[in-house]
Amino acid sequence: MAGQSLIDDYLDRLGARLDGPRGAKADLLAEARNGLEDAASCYRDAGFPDATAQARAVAEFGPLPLIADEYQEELAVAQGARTMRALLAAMLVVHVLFMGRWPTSPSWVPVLATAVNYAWVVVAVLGVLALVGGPRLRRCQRSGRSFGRLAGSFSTGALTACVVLQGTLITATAYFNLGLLLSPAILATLGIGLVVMVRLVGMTRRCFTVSAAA
Amino acid sequence: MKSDALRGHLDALLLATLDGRELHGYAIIEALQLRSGGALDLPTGTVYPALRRLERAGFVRSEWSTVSGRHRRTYKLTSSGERELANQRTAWREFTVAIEGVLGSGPWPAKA
Repeated sequence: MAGQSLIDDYLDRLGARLDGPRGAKADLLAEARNGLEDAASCYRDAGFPDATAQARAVAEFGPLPLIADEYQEELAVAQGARTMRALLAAMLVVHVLFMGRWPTSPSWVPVLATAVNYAWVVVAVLGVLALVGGPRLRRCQRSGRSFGRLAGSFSTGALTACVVLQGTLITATAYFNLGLLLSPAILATLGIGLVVMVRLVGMTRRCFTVSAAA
Repeated sequence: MKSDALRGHLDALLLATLDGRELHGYAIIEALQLRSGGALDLPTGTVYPALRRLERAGFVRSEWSTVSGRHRRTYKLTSSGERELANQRTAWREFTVAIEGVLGSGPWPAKA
């Protein structure tokens, strides 16, 4: 853009290549700006004119494709962690909202509801382990993108299980106690669950796109 | 020294630079260049993601703070990072001794 400094132009082009959560991206770019301005300031102090100082700072910083590739790793981690946190929080809320609302007959419905409860505990434990341990994986050069894809795959599995298990319970309720299903409290709960599900599907899809970007 | 040769050692170099002090990103780059006598030819933009990677691994901790009147992200070693640095230094000494044993000993004696 006309009138922009070389550093501004470089950061704009770097930002345009990056895809990920806004806060994490802004944080990375703010630190990059600090580094570029520090480098340019050193060259100015050494007697170089401003344009030359900025050009040297930008050249030292590295070629855009290489730098964007490395920054994107961090954004993939941020997107993966964000999705995992949202998934765990949403599952807890949906679980509490539906707790004790299912019909008590026929006898397999409470059994299935109990199985769903245990399934959520297993998913929650695995999710917390992945959230805590996943970002620490660092030996693999592509560990950031791997974590992003891992979070996306985990979320896909959890959401699929949610649709199948809760769907079965909802279908059973509709068949054996339609009045219960159509009560305002259950309808409101289903509405909230649907909104949460749509949001989580979008975040899950972002895990894969952010992990593949740049 | 070219960046490809450095990439495998970058994490250890960054940990060593932060040994016993808290620095912001550009100060880390300056310290690396100073200690290497300017021989480390690395795109400086790769240092910042590497520092984030070390933070994810639990080896460094960072925070935004005001340094010399400017808002900067500063980094320091965690206790886990200090242990990792000690391990990396031991591994490096063993590696250099082994390589020196092969490369530094000249031609094999001629067979009698």
